[in-house]
Amino acid sequence: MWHLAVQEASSWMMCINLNRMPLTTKMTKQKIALLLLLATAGSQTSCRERPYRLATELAPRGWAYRITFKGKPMIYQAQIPAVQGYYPFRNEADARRTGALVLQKLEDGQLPAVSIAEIDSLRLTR
Amino acid sequence: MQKGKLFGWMLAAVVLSACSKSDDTEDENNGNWKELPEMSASPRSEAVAFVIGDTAYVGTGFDGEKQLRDFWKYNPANGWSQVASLPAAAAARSSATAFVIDNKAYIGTGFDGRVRLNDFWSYSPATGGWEQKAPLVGPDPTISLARRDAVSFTINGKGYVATGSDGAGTKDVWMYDPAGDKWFTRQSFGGSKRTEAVAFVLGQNAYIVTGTNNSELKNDMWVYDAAADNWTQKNKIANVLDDSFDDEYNIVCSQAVAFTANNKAYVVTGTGNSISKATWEYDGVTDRWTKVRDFEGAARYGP
Repeated sequence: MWHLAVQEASSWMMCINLNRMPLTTKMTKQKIALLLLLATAGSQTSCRERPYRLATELAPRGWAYRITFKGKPMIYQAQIPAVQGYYPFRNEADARRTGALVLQKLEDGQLPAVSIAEIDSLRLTR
Repeated sequence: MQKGKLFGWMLAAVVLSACSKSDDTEDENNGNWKELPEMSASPRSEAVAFVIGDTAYVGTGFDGEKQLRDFWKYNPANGWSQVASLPAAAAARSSATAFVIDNKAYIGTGFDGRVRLNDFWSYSPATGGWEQKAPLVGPDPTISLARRDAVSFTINGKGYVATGSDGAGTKDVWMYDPAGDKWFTRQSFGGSKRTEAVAFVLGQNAYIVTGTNNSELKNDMWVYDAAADNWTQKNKIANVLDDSFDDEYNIVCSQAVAFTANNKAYVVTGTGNSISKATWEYDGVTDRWTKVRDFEGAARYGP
């Protein structure tokens, strides 16, 4: 389920990029080839405008995820949520898996809080 | 049981930015509200909020179905980050109260969906973790001091918890000393029993105002001198005098939010005759209220 969410998250980001490219713009062959590559690699799902976006990035310690809502910053998570103390995400996959869970909650209209039990089930590297 | 069901999330953030004007909708000179990132489409009510240094924290509350234990901090550039949740040994709760002493927040009392609570927990941003503290217990431990919708404030490194509901309104006042992790009896609130009031501190004095009891909204306001352990009444917050200064006063409400900035106190939103977005500014020197710019978000109550 999470893999699906992650895949979708990355694919619709590419969708947006494509959509913003005016069709009438003159493009070089390389650009068109690159776009086609991105399109086939990225969009297995239909292109939909979604208000929430998930992205991961390197943090001062370890990894972090960001969730934006209609382009505005909403959540920035550079520590494993809910657990006592400050534990960074040790790798990009951990940050993305956790962020995908939060994204799913938001898209389902729930509060974006993650519980200790959910963190345990994500089996993050500590 | 739950009355409030509105949007707790934004408020702390909005409050933090209340004194910084933005350019887009500036008018006159009576302040401006600026919208900051929402937490989610799903609302939470009866949360607690506190500020440590420059960072606002919001947590616990009620989402319409269950009591909550999560806590979040707000950073203007990045948005919200979820920090450590209230530990499993603590009940998830709403209608709790919080005060901050020496960069640690103390959160306690409240309602777990079945019973009112008297336990206290401390959060330290230095460690990112929670510690259990002494529960609110008086000299006679057989008398339960468990309550919800209390107010709290901090003066001179001591935390105070006052009023709230133990099933009915209360007026007792308790002082917490973090050095000994102990609670002490203080002079009871000078006004009548109440719940869902607000408290704020100007200078070395704490004020308690608004609130309700037995469906009656309270119009009296009292100031607490911590050194003398004494309550003194101030002017009422309704048009009760022949003088003209209170002619426009329409401040009575419950479940409002209070904060201070630049030595003035602000009481915002709440529920009175209708759910409010009014903002009132209080000057402790002159003992006068001024209506300033309305809160620009949706009218609300139940922080």
